[in-house]
Amino acid sequence: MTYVLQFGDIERFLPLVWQGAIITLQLTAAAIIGGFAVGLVSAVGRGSKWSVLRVPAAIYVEVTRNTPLLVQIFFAFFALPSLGLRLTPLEAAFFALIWNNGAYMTEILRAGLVSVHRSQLEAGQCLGMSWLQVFVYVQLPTAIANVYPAMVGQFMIIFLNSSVASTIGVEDLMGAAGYIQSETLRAFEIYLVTAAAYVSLGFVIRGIFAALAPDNPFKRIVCRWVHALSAAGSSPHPSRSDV
Amino acid sequence: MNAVELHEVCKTYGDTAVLNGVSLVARKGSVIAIIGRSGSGKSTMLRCVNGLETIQSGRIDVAGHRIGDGRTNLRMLRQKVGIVFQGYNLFPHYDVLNNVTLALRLVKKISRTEAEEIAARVLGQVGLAEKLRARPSELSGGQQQRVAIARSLAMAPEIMLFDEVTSALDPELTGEVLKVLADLAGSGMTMLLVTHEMAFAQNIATEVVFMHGGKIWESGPPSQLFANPQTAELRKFISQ
Ligand SMILES: Nc1ncnc2c1ncn2[C@@H]1O[C@H](COP(=O)(O)OP(=O)(O)OP(=O)(O)O)[C@@H](O)[C@H]1O
Ligand SMILES: [Mg+2]
Repeated sequence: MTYVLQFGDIERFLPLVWQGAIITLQLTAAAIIGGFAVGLVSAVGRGSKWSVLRVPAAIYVEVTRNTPLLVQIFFAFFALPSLGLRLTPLEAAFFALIWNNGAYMTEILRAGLVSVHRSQLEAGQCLGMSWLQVFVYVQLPTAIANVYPAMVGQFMIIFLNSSVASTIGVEDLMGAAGYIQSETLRAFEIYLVTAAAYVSLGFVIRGIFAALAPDNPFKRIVCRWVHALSAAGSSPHPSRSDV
Repeated sequence: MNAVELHEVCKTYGDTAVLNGVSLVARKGSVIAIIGRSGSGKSTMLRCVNGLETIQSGRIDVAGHRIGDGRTNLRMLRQKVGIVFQGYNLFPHYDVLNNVTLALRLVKKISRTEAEEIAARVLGQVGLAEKLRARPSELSGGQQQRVAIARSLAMAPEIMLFDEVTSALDPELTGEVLKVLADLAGSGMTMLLVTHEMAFAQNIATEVVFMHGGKIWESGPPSQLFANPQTAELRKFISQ
């Protein structure tokens, strides 16, 4: 059995693929940034000594990690209106992806935070730092460095899973592919193109996070230049303490 | 003038009494070596002095602050009392320079330029002026410990506490750290140091304190204490 690939039919739809890719990237960026923020707050809550913070955080994580993302996105789009919260498909997708990624980030960041030895925190405390300063400047950077690969792995998963948004009518990469397929009936070609698009975008995202990695020596060199330049620029006047 | 004064300090962990009424006076500029066997409460005493451990009774006056009345401003106190531990505890994701400047900028609100000048000076003092951009993982144990000392010194403390700072080091790296401590003692810094290096204690300490069972069992000038121990416990400890 042979199949002759014919890309001609789908060529005029390529701008749609491009627009879909942009929406996929927007969903991914929101899920990564929003999920990180949510995960950070909930990771701190999870490790808190107060059960009013610990219990809700635990419930959030367990409920989210034990339900399919598809259920969460349907919930956001079809069920929330019953509570008076009517979201557009795109809004519902943003909401569900941030919600979902936040739960996984909670677990990853929690693991990172507890991996920092108490003596490190004590060292900061002994230099007169406040608890918040110790958290932000000592515990968090070490925690992130310790779980960075797991974090990036989860970001890649949420990037691929953002395709679920197409099921509620979001015109992301996957949504665009579905539409083009129904217009042209060229399933093989369009899904080949779509797969290639996911691979390429994933490659770019991985590259960005590799460049941002805490142990990337190139980053240290760039940081040093920036510091040197800013120091040279402000040397006549004592610069304010910018940490 | 007294830099540190402990008065009848008691510390318990649950039911276990770790310090049973410790009284100790360190005059300004004195170097007090604390010796004693494992579990005798040496580390605990040091940690009480900068408020890392709470005490159950007694009081501690240190650098003009009183610990034990429940109203101590620990952050102010810790700017005046530096402490260095056996396991250096450098911040692994910062280079040497940032390890030293971090607290200067965050706590003392000193500008980056000024903080880096201070860092260069204290790192020079411990003989590491050329390692500014190294990460802790790229340094030997002795170098890491000297960075930890420099990081503490950068805060311009009035008193320095050292808890077995050479115990984790290979013998050939011990010397470089002891030299830094000796220089510091020579410069007039008030120091309380827990150590197993008897010869070192004998050479630089103005006073040696022998702890046993959560008490100060015996104390005195090193020459007298080592040559003429008064208690059976100290005799046994020295002869080991
Ligand atoms: N966090 C803690 N909880 C309970 N007990 C503790 C704690 N820290 C120390 N102790 C106990 O207090 C006693 C004194 O400990 P400390 O660390 O002060 O001894 P040390 O003289 O420094 O010993 P070493 O020479 O081994 O360092 C020990 O019996 C120890 O088991
Ligand atoms: Mg100890």
